[in-house]
Amino acid sequence: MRWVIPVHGILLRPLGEPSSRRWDNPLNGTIETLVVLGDRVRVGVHVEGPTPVILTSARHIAERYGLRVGKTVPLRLRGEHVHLMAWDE
Amino acid sequence: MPESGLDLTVHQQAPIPLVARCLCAPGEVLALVGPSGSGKSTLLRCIAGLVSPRAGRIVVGRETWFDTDAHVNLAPRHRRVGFLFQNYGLFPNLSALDNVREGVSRLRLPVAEQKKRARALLALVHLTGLEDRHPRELSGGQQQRVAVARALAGEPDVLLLDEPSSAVDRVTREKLQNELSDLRRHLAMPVILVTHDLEEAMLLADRLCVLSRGRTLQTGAPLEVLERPATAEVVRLLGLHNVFPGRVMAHRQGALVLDWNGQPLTVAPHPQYPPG
Repeated sequence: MRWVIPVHGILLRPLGEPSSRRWDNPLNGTIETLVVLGDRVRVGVHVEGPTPVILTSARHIAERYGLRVGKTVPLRLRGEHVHLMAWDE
Repeated sequence: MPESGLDLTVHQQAPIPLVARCLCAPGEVLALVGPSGSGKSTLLRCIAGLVSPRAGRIVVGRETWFDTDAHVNLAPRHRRVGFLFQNYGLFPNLSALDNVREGVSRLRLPVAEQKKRARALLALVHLTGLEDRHPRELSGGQQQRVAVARALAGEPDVLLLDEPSSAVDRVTREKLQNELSDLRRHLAMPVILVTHDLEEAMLLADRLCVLSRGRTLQTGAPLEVLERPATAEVVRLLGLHNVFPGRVMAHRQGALVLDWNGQPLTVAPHPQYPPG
């Protein structure tokens, strides 16, 4: 099986912020790619396995967090957004 | 327009494989999305009667337009369809007003009434004052609006939009999409939009129908399809990110625990993966 999560299901997590949501998954990852798209930023973060997780953020938030390639960032992966599916390849 | 909208089922193996089911309610915009050759435009032509599938049924409102079992196959001229083609198909030698009147003519109204109706439709698409211009004197966006007015002119039971923004530049496309988004609030018939532009589908459609190689893979609200793709093929076709291998490890306190390369993840329960 595979699991899929939309980009808005992965959030930057302020350091030290406790997880309060029922299905929150606090993770740490390393930024692999960072692409500015107007007032949004698309960020690829290596967490587990060969494929980075992709999230998007407002540009001013990314600037506030000082996001850059190579930086370790804390994330919240919101389990209520995870969709499970059979993989028919 | 009766309440039931459009109900289409088609099956054939040749000349082009088609295994499709689409429902579209009155006033709803259903976007057919998929790669080139997936059968999107063929389905539109089936609805318009320009192509007859080997088997199937097409019902619009209470009227059956096509039914192989009942040997019904209405001629295109008897199907009340408004069709917006990719290249708009305007008559270059006619003014905007007369192009729209061509669409009105099927209603067999007196000439004065035809002109009045054509002017009203041009006003609806914000082209008042440009009635006498020929297509070559109009911008791409204005030509498209004339084509939309003409498609609506015959009081269609179904409006078919075949890649309406594909022939214009990006700036014009965004403007057209906004105008179509505005216009759709005035439409009471089912609207089928063919597009390979997912952003356009997200902007304009109430529901998406994902097609590949003539098969409908998934139909649902845009966000639902993007967040809950049904198959790997839908994931690939829509270019979705964040798809990972995993394994259900446990059910714990009403949640699922997934193993993601050794990293446990707590996720909401899923009906296909019940406890036990």
